[in-house]
Amino acid sequence: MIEKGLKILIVEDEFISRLLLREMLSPFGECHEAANGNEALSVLMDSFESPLDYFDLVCLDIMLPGLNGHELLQYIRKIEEEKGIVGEKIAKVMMVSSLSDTENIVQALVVGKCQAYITKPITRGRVEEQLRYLHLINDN
Amino acid sequence: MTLENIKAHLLAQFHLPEEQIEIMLPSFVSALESHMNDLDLALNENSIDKIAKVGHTIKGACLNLGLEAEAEVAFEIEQRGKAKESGSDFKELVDKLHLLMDPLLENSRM
Repeated sequence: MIEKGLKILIVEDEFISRLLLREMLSPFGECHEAANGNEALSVLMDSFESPLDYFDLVCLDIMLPGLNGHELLQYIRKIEEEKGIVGEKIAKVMMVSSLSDTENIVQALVVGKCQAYITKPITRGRVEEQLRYLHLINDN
Repeated sequence: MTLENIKAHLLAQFHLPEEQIEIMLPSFVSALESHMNDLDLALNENSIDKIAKVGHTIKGACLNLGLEAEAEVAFEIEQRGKAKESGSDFKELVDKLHLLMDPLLENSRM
């Protein structure tokens, strides 16, 4: 089903959603978790030290305490650029939010340049569909 | 809604083994209780911003557990909070959410 184990960061402040995301994603690789933007940045900064250690996928909630998901995404892209992580090496970012309005979706996809956006409720089917869309897992 | 409804939702939407759901369920119930406590605190503080944020949090949790009626009330709390509708009767909405949630949370303690 997958060619290699993924390195995944789940940024979600709500316990139930975070746990369910971890259950959905842990079959595909190593999951790290952060409950807010500052924690996420700290985890990401550690991973920037080695290109091989960088994340394949970041699942990012939008409404977070402190830095929100949009702001965090901007930081991620800025630091990637500074560290020379470009093209195929950038993390695939999938926003996972119960915000379904056009403004937030456009901000994430167009301005923030995330690669996927799913709205809650999450399901196994929808998560895996996005992983296939992002070419992180194969079809079978 | 009952715990059995939540279990059925988790089975259907997440394809989790039943044994695993049984292990996870108490922590889910505990999280819902914590969110409701936060909502009560926000209401007591009369903080519309906090009410909106906690409403949003509860909405997300309930959506993922298949608690649709509860998610709808939480969404209304969130929306009115975001619109800073100071005239809104948030207590009425929070009471409405408690009416839906409390039986579920009490059942889990039995």
